[in-house]
Amino acid sequence: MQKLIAVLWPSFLVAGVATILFSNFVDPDLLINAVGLADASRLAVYSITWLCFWLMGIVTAILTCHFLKPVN
Amino acid sequence: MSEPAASTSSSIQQHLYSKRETIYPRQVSGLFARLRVIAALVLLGIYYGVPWLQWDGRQAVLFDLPERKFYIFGLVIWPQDFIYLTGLLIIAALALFFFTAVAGRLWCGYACPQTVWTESFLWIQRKIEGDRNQQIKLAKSPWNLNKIYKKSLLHSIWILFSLWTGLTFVGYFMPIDEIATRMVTLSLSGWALFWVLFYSFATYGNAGWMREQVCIYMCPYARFQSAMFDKNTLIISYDNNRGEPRGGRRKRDDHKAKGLGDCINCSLCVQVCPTGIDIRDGLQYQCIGCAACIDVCDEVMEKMAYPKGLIRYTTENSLEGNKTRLLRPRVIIYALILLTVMGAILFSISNRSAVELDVLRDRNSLYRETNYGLVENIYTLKVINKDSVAHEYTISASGIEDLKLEVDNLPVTAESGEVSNVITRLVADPEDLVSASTKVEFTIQAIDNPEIRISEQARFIGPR
Repeated sequence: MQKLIAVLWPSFLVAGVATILFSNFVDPDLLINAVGLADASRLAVYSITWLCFWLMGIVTAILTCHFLKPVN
Repeated sequence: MSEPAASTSSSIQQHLYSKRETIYPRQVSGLFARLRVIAALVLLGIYYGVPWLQWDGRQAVLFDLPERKFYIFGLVIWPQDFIYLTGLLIIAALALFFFTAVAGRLWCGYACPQTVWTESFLWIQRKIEGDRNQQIKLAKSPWNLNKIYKKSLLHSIWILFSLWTGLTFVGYFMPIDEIATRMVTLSLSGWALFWVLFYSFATYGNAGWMREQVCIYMCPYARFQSAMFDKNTLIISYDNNRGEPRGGRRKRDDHKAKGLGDCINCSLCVQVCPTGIDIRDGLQYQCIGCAACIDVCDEVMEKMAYPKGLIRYTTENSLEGNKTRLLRPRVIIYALILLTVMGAILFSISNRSAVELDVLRDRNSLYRETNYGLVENIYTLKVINKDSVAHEYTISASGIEDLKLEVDNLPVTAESGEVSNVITRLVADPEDLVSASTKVEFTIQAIDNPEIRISEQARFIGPR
């Protein structure tokens, strides 16, 4: 439980901030055009951006937890 | 050296996690309980009510993500104005620092969403399962029809309440009447539905199940708030000198003769605590400053005919018999920074330009040579009218000698809050180009008001 919170929670917070910053500077419409998802809405792009950031944060947090273990 | 200490502390933490017992806070009444209920009602009223307010025929407060415009009553905030939102967050953080330094964890006890929703959920639980003792009894009882009925009723109401909360949350970002209709007719689109459910799940989980664990293990503020504390900060504290030695007694006993303090050790202060701590153990970071223990202890003191305030809002200095100083460097500095930032934001909002210009170069070609041997660059100008009325604008460009500007439809018009895309061609003689990339400047100006003008730089690319 403690590990789960330590992995999911900080990455959630950071993903939120990262998404806000990212979508402020990058208009999702440009991304939609670039990737070629014609029927994706901006909301979908924001959501997917956020999920991606969260996923990256989760991976980082899991690695941190992993490296925190003593070597021997 | 530090190895054993670290492992001990981590084993204690593990212990806490595994040994977590559900806390059933006893209901309190009294001055601070009333204040807390009023605060909760006002805050919930704002939260659930604001998305339904209208302003000029649109939703008054709408962070319209699909349109990339934030409406806050009369104010429209564009992605370009992001600095204001950042400023708002900085103000919120500084205000939190300031209030913490002066009055401790007021935020946690009265205004934090975690507290407000937990109290709402507890209130629902009390209505269905009864008071603390009945709740504990029900939890311990085997699964019979009564328990199944009460528990499923409780969770159904919690879930409905959470869904409403989630819907309201998404209603800050998309038109709420549309979402509500679609929610009822079950035709909500994919991502909107995802967010409604996600936020509902978070509400249900945090206020129904996690409760005080959110404050203790997840809240970043709880971890660092003590850094803002000093000996003059308002805290909730048990008066050790007056209360100890604690012990049971009858009301007519002369406890002083028995060598007892004022604390009758009734443990009510522990039973009402939403985080399950004993305030008599001193200041603890689990204490969210809700003052429930003050209310209940005052009640007991009254019954015993002792003076109130055995547990009270006080400061470390005052407990030690010293004077409490309100104005101290820490408070003054927080207040000064807060006022400065607030002033700067207000000043810049009231002075912000009523028009915004973005220049995008044509992506398809760097430049084009015309039939007359001239060089042409194509740009898209995004003219954003941030004023409350429509305007017509003129465009000019400078930076290269004899630079010619060609626009198909002049003047440019933009309604209030509208973005006008203007395809613009700049034509220059290659003889006049000093380098392959030359700085040029576009200027737009409202025809009816020369003060509404803005310039934006761009690059003119030529052969080299």
